[in-house]
Amino acid sequence: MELKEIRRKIESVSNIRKLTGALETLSALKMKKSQKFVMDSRPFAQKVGHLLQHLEPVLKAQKDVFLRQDEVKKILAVVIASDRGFCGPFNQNVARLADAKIKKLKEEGEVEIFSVGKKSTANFKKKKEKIGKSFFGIGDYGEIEEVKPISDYIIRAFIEREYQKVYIIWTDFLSTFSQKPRMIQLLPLDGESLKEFFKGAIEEKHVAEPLVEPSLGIVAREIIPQLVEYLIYQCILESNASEHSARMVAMRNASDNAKKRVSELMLDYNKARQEMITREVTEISSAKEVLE
Amino acid sequence: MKVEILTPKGLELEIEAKIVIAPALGGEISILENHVPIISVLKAGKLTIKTSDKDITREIEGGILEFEKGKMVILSKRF
Repeated sequence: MELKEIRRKIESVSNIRKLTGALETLSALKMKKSQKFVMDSRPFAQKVGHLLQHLEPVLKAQKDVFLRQDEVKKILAVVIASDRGFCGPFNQNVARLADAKIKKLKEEGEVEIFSVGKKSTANFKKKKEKIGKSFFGIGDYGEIEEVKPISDYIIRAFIEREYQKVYIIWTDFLSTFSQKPRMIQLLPLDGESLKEFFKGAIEEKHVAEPLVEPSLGIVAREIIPQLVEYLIYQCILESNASEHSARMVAMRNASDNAKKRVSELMLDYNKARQEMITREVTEISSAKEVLE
Repeated sequence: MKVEILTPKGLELEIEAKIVIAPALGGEISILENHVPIISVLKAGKLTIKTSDKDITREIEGGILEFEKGKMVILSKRF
């Protein structure tokens, strides 16, 4: 390789390294904050799940609108991914799970997608799936108000029986290095899928039937939309923390690779330079010999 | 009884209380130590927690109250 060419390569790789390094620092900060958010809200979400499970048998007996399973014609699949790329396999993992699950759901009825995040929308557009609604632009540390349009739409569409089943696919945050995409049935509410959501973190069974104030019907109408909203919020927080963690790890890997590449190129460069010097010296000395 | 106030930001308050007066949908309710288990919807209003030495009064934006086995949990968006 030409010296000049190697030098140009070294330059471009170090530029990439600067970029990925900066992104790494940035996403490390965001990761820390979004991880704190998700950890802080987990006890709250668990309590929400606990309450839902508590109310479930009573409401089911009453054939409450949120728990009744009608004949399935249309299914809504809410798929949460990120707005931005550069986050390793994060979006692909969500897409892969979504594809597999949606294929299965299609056996039950018509599937429409509610995509959250630009990358999620782009994925389903490419695959020509039917997108019922899409949403993007949730902040990195989403406030619950930002999630309201999403949950409002889902709850309204479900009450009006536009869809008979709603599933949600999101990425569960396990640790900085491990995130797992998952899916549960969001509506109609179902004790089993709630248990699945909280992986058994829900407290023990209740001894007594609680007194419900002011009445079960009102409680269901008031509480359940709120509880569903909190569940969706939690899914988004989990996905956010996962996204930033995945990006941080991806950028760290990219920086490390770039660093390795620079030192390899440096070796090549020195070798080429050495070769050139040797060649020049040989040329000069042979020329000298010829002259003598 | 033990009172916990939970928001999506975490556990905001954990305290031993004697009486809790909460703004339920149907009107104010007071809950003492040996109340029957209850789940209630709260509207926006004043929440008062009386402990043995002081009263804590805060405005809340509504939420959900659950009381069981001598433990009360109030879920609210903000506190």
